[in-house]
Amino acid sequence: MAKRIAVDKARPGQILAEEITRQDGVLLAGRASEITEGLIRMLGRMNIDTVVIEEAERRTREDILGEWQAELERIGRAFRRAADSPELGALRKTLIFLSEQERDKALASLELSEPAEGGEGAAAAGEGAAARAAGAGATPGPGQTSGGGAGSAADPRPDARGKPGARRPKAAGKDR
Amino acid sequence: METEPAVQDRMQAKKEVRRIKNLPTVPGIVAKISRIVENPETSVAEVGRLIAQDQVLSAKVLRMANSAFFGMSRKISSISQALVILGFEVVKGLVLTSSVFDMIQKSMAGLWEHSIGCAAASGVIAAHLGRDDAEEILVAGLLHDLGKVVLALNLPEEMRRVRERVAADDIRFYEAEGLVLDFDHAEIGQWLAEHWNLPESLAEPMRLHHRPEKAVLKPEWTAIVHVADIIVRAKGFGHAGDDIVPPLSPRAWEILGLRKTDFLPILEKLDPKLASLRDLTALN
Ligand SMILES: [Fe+2]
Ligand SMILES: [Fe+2]
Repeated sequence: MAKRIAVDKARPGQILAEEITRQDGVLLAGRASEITEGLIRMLGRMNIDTVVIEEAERRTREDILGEWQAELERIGRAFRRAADSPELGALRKTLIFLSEQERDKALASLELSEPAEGGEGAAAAGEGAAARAAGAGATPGPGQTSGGGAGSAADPRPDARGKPGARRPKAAGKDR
Repeated sequence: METEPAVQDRMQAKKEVRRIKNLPTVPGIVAKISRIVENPETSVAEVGRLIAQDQVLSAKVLRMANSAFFGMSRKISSISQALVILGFEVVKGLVLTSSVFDMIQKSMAGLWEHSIGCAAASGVIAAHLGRDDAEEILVAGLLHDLGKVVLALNLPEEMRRVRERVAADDIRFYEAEGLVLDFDHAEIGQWLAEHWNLPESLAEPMRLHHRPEKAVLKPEWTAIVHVADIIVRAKGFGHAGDDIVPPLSPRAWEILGLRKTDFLPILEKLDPKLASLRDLTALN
């Protein structure tokens, strides 16, 4: 599953199968983390020339949509007794929103990897794009889906901060 | 006719409480650490040497210290370094967890994953709230369901009855315990914590994570573990005995001053941690 590749073959979005450390032990990127543009540039500067990545299992558009559907069903089951709690309702909506994001990301990367193969591959990529467009149509933006969720990502702090902060975490800290 | 067997069941369960007083003994290394730190002369280096004597154990502790739990930018390469960076209580918690790892693994499929998931979620919530004791709360999350381990290993017959009830009535594990036994994993956790001399700040979340409104010593710790437990179950990470998201305590929610919109940033921080914590599922 894991495969060692040259850094100049590494692409953002690939997953590290082994951590990357500098000779002096400084951890540059942990196992299972995602390769980013920044990391590739940094590795270039540090003369690190190979990395070990997880070889992407090739998922089809159907796989991705199937997995997403299964996740939606799992969420529905898990929350079957949470109907009367507005907080748990918000948690459920947030999970659904994130699963849609994940799905769209997977479909987009499928589209990126496919065109190179030409012919049939290109046709499949076209389909993927269509599905994504359809998905985007059916899916309200983050703001709508999670009821102000996107806004919260930008400013989750103001309210959340004041109260717990005032509680002074260490006040009761006399235990051993 | 209906009540007779139920009454007998309850009497039987009462007897089990006594039997369960034969709780597992505290792992030797944890007892030793507790003993040497009672001496005010003991240095961090000495504690470090004691733990490092057990190489298998210290390897496990270091793996946890370097995991996504703590998101260290620098690799922790020795126990004494871990003691300096994470603090004594956290390292002791990791030693304890590592030494009961096999027990947790053996007790119930998915419980280890549930425990590390709850630990990670506890740490993320605490950090989101801007607390500086996030690492210690994380340890409380790691150990919160230890009572289930004892139930599974020491009282297999009771465990079987609880699990049958969960399946038959489609109820939560905790509810089934209430119907089938005179005690539950939260109480067992409390007995174990006493028996093992764990700090009250860890015992309280073990006892009250399903009733966080009752916590008095560190209500925020118990409230965080309570919400973290709900979040890992909602994520479907690991298995805690049933697949139902438990009710959220309004009081816990209020204590933490959380808002519904806090779920998004919390989950966005938690998801990558859970993905890389799958590494810890085989700690050997
Ligand atoms: Fe529990
Ligand atoms: Fe739990």
